[in-house]
Amino acid sequence: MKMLWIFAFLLLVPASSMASENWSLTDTNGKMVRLSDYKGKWVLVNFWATWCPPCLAEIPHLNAMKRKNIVVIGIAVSYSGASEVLDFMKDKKITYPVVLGNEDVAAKFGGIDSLPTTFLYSPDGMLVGQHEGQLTQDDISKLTASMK
Amino acid sequence: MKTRHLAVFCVLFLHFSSALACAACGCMLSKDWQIQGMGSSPGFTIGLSYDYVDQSQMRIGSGKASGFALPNAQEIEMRTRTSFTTLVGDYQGSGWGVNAQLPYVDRYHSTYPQGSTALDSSNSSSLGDARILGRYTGFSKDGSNGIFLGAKLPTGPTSVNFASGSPLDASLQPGTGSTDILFGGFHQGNINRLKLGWFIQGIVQHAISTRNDYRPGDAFNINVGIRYAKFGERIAPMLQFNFIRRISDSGANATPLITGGDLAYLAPGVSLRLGDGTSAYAFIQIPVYQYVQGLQLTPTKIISIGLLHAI
Repeated sequence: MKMLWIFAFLLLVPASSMASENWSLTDTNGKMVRLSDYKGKWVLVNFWATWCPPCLAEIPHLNAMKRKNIVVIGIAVSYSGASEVLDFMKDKKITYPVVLGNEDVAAKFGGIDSLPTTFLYSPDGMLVGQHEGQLTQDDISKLTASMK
Repeated sequence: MKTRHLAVFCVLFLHFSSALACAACGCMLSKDWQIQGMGSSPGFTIGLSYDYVDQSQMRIGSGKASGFALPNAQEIEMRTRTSFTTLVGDYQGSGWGVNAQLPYVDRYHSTYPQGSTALDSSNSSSLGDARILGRYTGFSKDGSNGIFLGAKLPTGPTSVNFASGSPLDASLQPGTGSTDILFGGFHQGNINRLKLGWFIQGIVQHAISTRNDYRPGDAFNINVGIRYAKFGERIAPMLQFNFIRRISDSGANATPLITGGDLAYLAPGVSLRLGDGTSAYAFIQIPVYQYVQGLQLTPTKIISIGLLHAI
């Protein structure tokens, strides 16, 4: 039932069959971030940009998800420089790791059509959904409730 | 659900084909779209491109021409084959960037001179005219609008001769001898809910300093394109429409009656993301409209391939 609800929630856009479940990325601190490092945990990967209002509206909710022991990884795209993202993270008090992304990084997820786009991986490392558009507080409350 | 669709088209840099050095070689194709815009990362990109232009179709005005009797009262050009191998360097900063290109030009040209039945030809291989172009994209955070300003420098030679020893036309030399100013602008966007990005860009080239009493005509170029725009897609088909209006050359060493014209091309192409910041692309430009001043050789197609690597 839990997985059914997650699918119902996230399958506004079906998970891309091209998306890799074996990715590794490097965050702004130079730390390697691998999906395989998070076995046993839900992992949420969020593509965003500093100029994208719906992306910014999600940030408090994503911070809250991290506090609930869900692994959240942000992937910033379309930025003019690393300092722009770092300053933005500080300003918006982003507490989860952020990767400086580009099209090669997006290719590891099968590509994305819009911002924000969010991928969800189950504790056994399977991609269970892909969501295009802003995650609302209601969406996230239901999602986190279903993960318990 | 609110979303911001990625304007993944990431146009833009005009890859200034050195084709402008000759009257009817072809159009400027926008090939380096990965370098710019949202799909790009800040920093350096290097690239190498190869363009092959085979001008074998004689044309008067917008019609094909053939069957000229020899000797003829005017020069009858037979063929011009040109390849441009261009080294590209690009830097993308915060809201600005700069792009430099250095072409190596390999050109064969054959013609029946005025009043002659003996074919004369020339072969040349040398550096062509370098180009440097700055851009400003800080009008918006997503970099979807921009302007550019730059120059074409007279780095290519202008003294190539025919095998007979007579000088090659100024418009067919590897370099024009002129310093040209380049300026223009672009806009890129997405067709909502469709996985298509689009762009439009325009650029003007005008000689501000000339040599040898030869002034290449001004050029006005417009490129419009669409691309399958999924951000991060490994294979991205693309289609461009390229139009160039070239004004006739002027000066004592120019041939104004057989230079200049309007050329329009449809250019299907594809880019392939190879990973680790490297991508390859290929285009073929197919003429859809050609109007030339006087009698000129025009291409039946132009082939362009290249590699880009983000450092």
